[in-house]
Amino acid sequence: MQTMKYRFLQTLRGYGNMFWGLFYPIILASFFYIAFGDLGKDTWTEIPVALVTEEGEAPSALFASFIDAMDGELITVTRMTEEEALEALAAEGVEGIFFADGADGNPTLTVGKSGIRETVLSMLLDAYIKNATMYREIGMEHPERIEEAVAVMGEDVSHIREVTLGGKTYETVLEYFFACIAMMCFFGCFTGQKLGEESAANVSACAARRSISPEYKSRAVLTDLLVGITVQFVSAIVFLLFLQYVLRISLGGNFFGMAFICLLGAMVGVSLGMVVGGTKLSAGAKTTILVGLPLFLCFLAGLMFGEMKVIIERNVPVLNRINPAALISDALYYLNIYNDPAALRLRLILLFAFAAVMTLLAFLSLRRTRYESI
Amino acid sequence: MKASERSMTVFHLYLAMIRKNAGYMLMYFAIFMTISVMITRSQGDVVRQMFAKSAVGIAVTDRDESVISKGLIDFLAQENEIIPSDGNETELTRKLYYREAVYVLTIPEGFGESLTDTSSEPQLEVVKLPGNAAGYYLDADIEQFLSRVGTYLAAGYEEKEAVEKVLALKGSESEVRIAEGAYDYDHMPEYAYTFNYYPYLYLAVLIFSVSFVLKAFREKQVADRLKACPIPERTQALQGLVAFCLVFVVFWVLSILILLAADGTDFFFSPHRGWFLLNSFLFLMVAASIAFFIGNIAKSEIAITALTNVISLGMCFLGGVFVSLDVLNENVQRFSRFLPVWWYVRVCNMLGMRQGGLNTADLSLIRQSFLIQGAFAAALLMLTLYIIKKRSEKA
Repeated sequence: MQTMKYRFLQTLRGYGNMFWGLFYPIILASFFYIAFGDLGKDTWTEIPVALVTEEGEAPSALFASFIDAMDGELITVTRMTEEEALEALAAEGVEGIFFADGADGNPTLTVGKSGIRETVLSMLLDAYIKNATMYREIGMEHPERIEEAVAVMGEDVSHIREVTLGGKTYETVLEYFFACIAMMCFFGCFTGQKLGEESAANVSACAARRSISPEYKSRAVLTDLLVGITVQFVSAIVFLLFLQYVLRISLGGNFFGMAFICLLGAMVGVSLGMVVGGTKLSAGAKTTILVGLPLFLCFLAGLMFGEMKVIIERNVPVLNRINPAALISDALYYLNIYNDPAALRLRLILLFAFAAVMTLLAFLSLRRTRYESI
Repeated sequence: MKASERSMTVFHLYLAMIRKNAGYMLMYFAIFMTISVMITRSQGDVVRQMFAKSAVGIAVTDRDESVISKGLIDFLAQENEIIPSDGNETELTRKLYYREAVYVLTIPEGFGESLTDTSSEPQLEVVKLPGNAAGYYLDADIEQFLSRVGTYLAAGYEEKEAVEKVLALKGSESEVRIAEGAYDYDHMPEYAYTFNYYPYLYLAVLIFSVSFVLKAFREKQVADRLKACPIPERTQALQGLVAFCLVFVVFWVLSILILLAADGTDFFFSPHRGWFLLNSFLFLMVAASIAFFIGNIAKSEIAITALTNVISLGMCFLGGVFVSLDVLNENVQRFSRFLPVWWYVRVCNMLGMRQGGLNTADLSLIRQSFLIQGAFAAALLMLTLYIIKKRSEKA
């Protein structure tokens, strides 16, 4: 217990490792929050458009009244001459120009670029052209019912109701936060690296001193493993609390389930670090492996680009089953959003297998090592 | 030893350290470059689908199976892929998660009748993928389809005839034009997306590389020997800077060569390749000045790591590298204007979207961006040299 206490203190005082294992994920999550804060939220503002009409033309007046009816709802309309409108479009004063009498007397739209707002403008024009064709047709074939038809079209009825699946909202932005949790679990590898180095007598002076102490080597390695995993696990809990209560990210209701997944993740991360730390590689090579490998695995799990995991699932799904970072983020999603116990079970079994193998590997690689010379 | 060689002793020492760490530097470069290329290879279509109207997967559960519900499905199938579903929530969530469908539509029983019988009003139930514009477009399309069918029904047409007439209506495809010289987001080339990611590559790799080398210089024996040598600390710093500049230029050339290998002909024949290169080179200078600044002010390796990550990630997230500027909050962007990376990304986006020649506004943006990036790099370099001078005076 005494050894464990001091190993805890030593680990907590390793500020560099604590930075990677706790503060770096907090910083990254805060940036996610700032950058993705508005993703999926309704931040719509009216689209400024120019309307170019020719005086006295009946079709032009009809289209102008259609556009005017939208003024203040979806768009902000300003009447301009063609020259003024083109200048305003170039100066980004308006985002589109409606020509009431465009080609062949039909209304046309000119936009400055392609995007959501420009697509909405083209949908408005599309609606007008289709409605005009429809009324012409009804006017020719059923002129006696045209008033009823116009009345129905004018009704403000919504046929759509937005719902959620199983009462849970699917938020794409959560994928980034779940990948971030996977990364923070993995970054326990830096704590593991230090502990591994301090267990391998041919790597550090500290380990050499420890190896001549009367303490059993296997017990010392086990203590290190327990300390590393506990520190990283507690860091993960702090991180989850930070996400839920400081950034107010709604991760889902099952906190203990998430904590369990983080525990498995911490086991994978810390034991990976111990295995690498205990090798005779140079410090630079170790750091490169321990920065590069987790980053690459987390990239595949969607940390830098949320769609990456989806692309892999479509093309090489097996990669998502053998990538522990993807397993962590998938398990978090299946736990909180999905109602699919079979899929969650599979991810947890695979993750547990990874954690068990890595922990065993770390333990076996460091215990009972004998040196003829150091 | 010749006098000229002696005067460049520190430079040679830096080069020796750089050569010693070249393997790690290249490894970091390879990791970040691979990530950048992989992201940009897959990002283009996803970003385009986020903003423009394009064919998407729609999972449909039809519990009504009326003429109108089938007509609605046919209407949606004109521009999208319909995925029939039995309404299993687990399966539907899985489809949303893996983007097989971005819109889930459930047509309740009796929905068709509700269009003619106003006493019953079962509504369509939809689930949308947040952050994807397709959901909003589809909502509007469905409402318009139903409204038109309702209009035809009110005009005395039979259900089947009303649906057929709505399906046959022609839209405005030929009536929408992109203004001459407009930004063309739909055809933004992949190399433009790759250039957008270079700030992260440069910042991450350069700061890591500088910290690797400076770490060796912070070792007590080396640091003490350098303090004891007759070369002023400022000159030592300048020689270090020249050595680092060599590394930075090598990284820049490598990043461009890899881009050429990946997008060779596209980039080679781009009318704006010169501007792209100049923009990326200027940002390299910005990244180099930040790396040199951090390398000199941070006292410990931990501080270097912390500052590196906070600065590189912060700049890239707020400057539009990881998240498109179109998605970034206006208030965030007001702050981002002070960051050189924001200006760099704006120029990349503009050059990527501008297929033809550049107009006055484009050239003005380039000028402004280059000035800001150049001024930022110069100011930070001056500040670093000033700090070194003050430190040297104090010592």
